[in-house]
Amino acid sequence: MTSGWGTPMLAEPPLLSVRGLTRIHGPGCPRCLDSTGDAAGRNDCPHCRSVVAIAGVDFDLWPGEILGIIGESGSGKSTVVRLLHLDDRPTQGSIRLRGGDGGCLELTELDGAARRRLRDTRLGIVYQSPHLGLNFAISAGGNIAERLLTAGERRFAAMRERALALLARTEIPRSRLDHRPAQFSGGMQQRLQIARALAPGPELLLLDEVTTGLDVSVQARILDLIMELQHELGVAMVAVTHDLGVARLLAQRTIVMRCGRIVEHGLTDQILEDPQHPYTQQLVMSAL
Amino acid sequence: MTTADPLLAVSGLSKSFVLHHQAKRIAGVHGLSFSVARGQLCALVGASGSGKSTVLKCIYRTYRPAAGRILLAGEPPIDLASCDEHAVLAVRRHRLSFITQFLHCVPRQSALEVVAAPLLARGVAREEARARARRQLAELGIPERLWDVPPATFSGGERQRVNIARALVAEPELLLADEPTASLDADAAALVERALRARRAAGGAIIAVFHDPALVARLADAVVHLPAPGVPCAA
Repeated sequence: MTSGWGTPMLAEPPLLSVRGLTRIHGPGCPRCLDSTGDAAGRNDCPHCRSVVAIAGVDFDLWPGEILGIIGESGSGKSTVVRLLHLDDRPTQGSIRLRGGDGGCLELTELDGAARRRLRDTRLGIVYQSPHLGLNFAISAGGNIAERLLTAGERRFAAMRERALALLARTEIPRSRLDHRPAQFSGGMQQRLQIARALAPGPELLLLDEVTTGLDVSVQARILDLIMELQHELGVAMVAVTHDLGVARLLAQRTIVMRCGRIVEHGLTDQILEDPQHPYTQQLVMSAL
Repeated sequence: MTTADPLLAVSGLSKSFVLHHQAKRIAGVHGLSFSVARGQLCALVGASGSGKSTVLKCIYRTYRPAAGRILLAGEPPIDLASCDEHAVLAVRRHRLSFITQFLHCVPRQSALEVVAAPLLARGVAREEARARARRQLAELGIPERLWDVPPATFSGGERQRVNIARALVAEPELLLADEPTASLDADAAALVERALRARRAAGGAIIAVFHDPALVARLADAVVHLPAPGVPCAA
């Protein structure tokens, strides 16, 4: 929580510090970085044909904060999420996660087992496609139990209790506990993804276009739920979206990406009402 | 104008807007200085396009000032024109509210939840926050039957009063108000006027833009005149 007036949250170190994060697909060459990005207007290197998915991405995330990342397809925002979720390794750069003991973990240096353990216990992710985030072969209750099992829970009664509490919290009727995700509506599948992601009590929740493609009323319900959960649990989130309205509702601060680079960052209302970069101005103008 | 111990001191504030795609620069304000003390209401007055809303948005940092200082008293003082984003968010949470021209809120939240939210963000317990929100809604004449309904379904005037209730509920030290009574009928406007007077009497500082000159005459302790668009402010 914040302390005094002048130095709120600043006294507290960030939960997550990302520096110089770079991911190049392909062999890479010395001219890759200069030949791609915002000024070049492309993310594929004309000299070696490598794709610079992201380069030089820096940001901090404080505990309990929601940071928005906006940009169109190909801007690199989903690459940032994949790297944060340790689904991929950066070509360069650092991702430091602060632990409860005050120590910092350099996530890019972890071995395979440690990466899995971290993903199973301290990170959560909700994808645009429920097929990525859910196991469609097992029931809703099973989806939550599976995640609790990988996080180390072995007591059946505790798992059942936690699963029921999470379903209730995400507004999924208890009567649907034994139904498979395929029998759920799109909105309910997203809520089940949220329940599954939150099961082990992660410190960082990654949201990758979670309301894209849903009806507006269903979208509103999901966004409300996310904000309520953020308030109740204080979990920090990174929300990737191409929908400026979603960023406005969820995020206090927002990063704008284009061609794999951060072109602007600021308070979300400032980004939307006083965008500085030509690309952000275009994005805001085409949305309103 | 009272300048002794100002709560907020604006000096040399400039803001213009560069529209890259049209290769245009739009003038906002140029070299504006003024201050407001606790328990004082300062009205910004000027022609349409003179930058009244721009000044409010610069103080709230919805707009990024191009030059100048916006010094908020404190230990230590904070320059809202240049401090980092987290410092702005903390000032917004604890000390500063903005009655904007339009209400932006989460679609499914009830009016009561919308108004209680700033208190919850300050760490006030849920029940107390809801009790204070109820009092604030009642003070602004929102009928009780609407408290559990999302404001999206309200009339323009009711929605605006929810917006005002949300800004007032946490009793901010500094309140920014952009035409708070523009969409209200006379009875509702009178309730809002009373609420602004109460905030000022409790020691709050208010910087406001009013569409009605009579309100400026009745309420303002100080008036800041903004020159016509594109004209620099007098030194």
